[in-house]
Amino acid sequence: MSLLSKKISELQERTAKAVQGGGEKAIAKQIAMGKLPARDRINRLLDPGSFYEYDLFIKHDAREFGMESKELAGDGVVIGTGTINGKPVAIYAQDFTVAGGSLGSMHARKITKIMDYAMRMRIPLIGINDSGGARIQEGVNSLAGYGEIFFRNTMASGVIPQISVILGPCAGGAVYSPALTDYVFVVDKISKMFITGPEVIKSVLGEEIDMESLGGARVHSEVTGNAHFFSESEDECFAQIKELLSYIPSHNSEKPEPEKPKEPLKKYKIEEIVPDEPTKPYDVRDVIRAITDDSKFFEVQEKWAANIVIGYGRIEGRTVGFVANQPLVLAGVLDCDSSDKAARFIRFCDAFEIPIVTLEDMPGYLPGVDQEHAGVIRHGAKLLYAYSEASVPKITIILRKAYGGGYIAMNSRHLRADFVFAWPMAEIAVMGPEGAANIIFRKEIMEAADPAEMRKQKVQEYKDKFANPYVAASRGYIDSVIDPNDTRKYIAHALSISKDKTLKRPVKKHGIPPF
Amino acid sequence: MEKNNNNDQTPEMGKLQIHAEGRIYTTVLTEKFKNREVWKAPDPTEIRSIIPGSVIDVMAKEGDKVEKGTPLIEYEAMKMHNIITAPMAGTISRIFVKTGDKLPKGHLMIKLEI
Repeated sequence: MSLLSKKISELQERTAKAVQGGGEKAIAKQIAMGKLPARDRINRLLDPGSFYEYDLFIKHDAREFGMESKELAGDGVVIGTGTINGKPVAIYAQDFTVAGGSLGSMHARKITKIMDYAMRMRIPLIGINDSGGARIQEGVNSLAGYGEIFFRNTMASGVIPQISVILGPCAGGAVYSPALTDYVFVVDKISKMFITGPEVIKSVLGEEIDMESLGGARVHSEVTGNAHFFSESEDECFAQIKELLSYIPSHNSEKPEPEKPKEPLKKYKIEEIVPDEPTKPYDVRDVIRAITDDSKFFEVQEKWAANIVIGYGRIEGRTVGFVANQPLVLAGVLDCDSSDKAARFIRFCDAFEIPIVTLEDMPGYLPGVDQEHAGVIRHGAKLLYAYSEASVPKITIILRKAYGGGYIAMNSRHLRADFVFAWPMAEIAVMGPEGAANIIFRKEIMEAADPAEMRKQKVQEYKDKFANPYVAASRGYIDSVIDPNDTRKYIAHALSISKDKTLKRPVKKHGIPPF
Repeated sequence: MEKNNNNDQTPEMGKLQIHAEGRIYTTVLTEKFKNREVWKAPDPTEIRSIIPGSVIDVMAKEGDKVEKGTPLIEYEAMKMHNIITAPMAGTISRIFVKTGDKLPKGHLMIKLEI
């Protein structure tokens, strides 16, 4: 045997041992929990055979509590690069089989190394989280590691897309890395995220709650809004990540790659989707499907704040971010959560050169003490801020109701929409006809012989005068009143002519958006 | 971390002692905290209003067998007529509302039995 082949076989032995992670027993335990080992996850997510691993032979540097004699393969995390849909990505996956995926200083250094690569090479970063938390034996070094990750997450925000995949526990300070990234993926029964766990809650407050109800996948995708994509299995989750990446660019100075244009499916007919009566609800996602290529709509945060719909589709091959009021849920009102949800999505689209199409049909902000006390003023303001700030092409279609403050907030001309189109049944007014007639004609109604009849008459009068798109059209606040069946055509044209839109903004360090 | 188990036995009213790692921390409780609603797991057999509004029509009767998606109540909120449907198959054990009722958010409308 030559020296080289001896060296090669030594490398193979070392590699084989290192990729065993925590060993057979720990891997079997991981699988029994319904979870895949870290490298399997990466290989299933990336294009086959595209993964290259780095820092396989890293050693941890804990020197206390008997740790110095322990070997932790790869220090509990796998890092590397590869491709998804043929495009390069940087990835790390915490390995729960090695010391519970706990984060020590070398573990953190591996993660920050791959984050630095992603930033330097301008490629998306994917982090698979499956960790018991800080490695207690490494003390403050472990905390320092988290801090280094959070700082990089913040620096990378708006430069490269950052995706967090929660495939196991992610507790305590560790949750703040996903929270700082753009998209969080969770899987039913596998993902667990919380700051303080059930044990601490029980001992401090005496309240009993199980892990799933406190911070399981369903909770984060329906109640808290911390997660953006929910799935039933790890494979379904990986398919969602691939689909998301097909819509967005690799970094902020490139545009999303266009695909071959396709017509929407014939079965989605706008006229059949939207009812004539303004009091009848409908699923606005079907309107989106009637507009997009191949009637595809990739929804973000489907279950949380469902009164507003956000997500991606394509028009004539180009990626578009959709923001749409959902009359099917809470009558499509704006409230704290829906404002937060839409505002963050708008800022992502703006950062990554994705045009925004807004479909508007909402009766206004949700009235109520709990909304006011929850701070609907500052939450609602985020939406105004995000729309005003966005410099990508912005197109608004007013479908039916556009009342009051909501009309302004939903990407109106006044916040610098590039194009505003309205359907003929649109009602653009300062408030709904009933409320408005009661105020304007209070005296007439009160003094009438038959107040109920007079009210009805005056409501109709107001409707005829204001509850239509033509008043706004007469002021130039909307560009065209369009046949709903031509919606796709108008959007496609607007997108094609605003392709090279440029805007100069006042020089500043950064704005101060309401939080 | 452990805590003395009864809030009422704290040395001063409205204060809470937390024993952590051999040290005792005393902290005041805010009014908001004291008045908080203790978390309860939602009961999927209870159909509650999710927005303030009024009942236009009750389509279901007590004792009816329903499938998932069976229309139960027509509910007007924010100028929209919404159809509240059964979240799962079951039997209507009680209806707490009638046509014309104005409801706050979170009001129990129907109790199902699986």
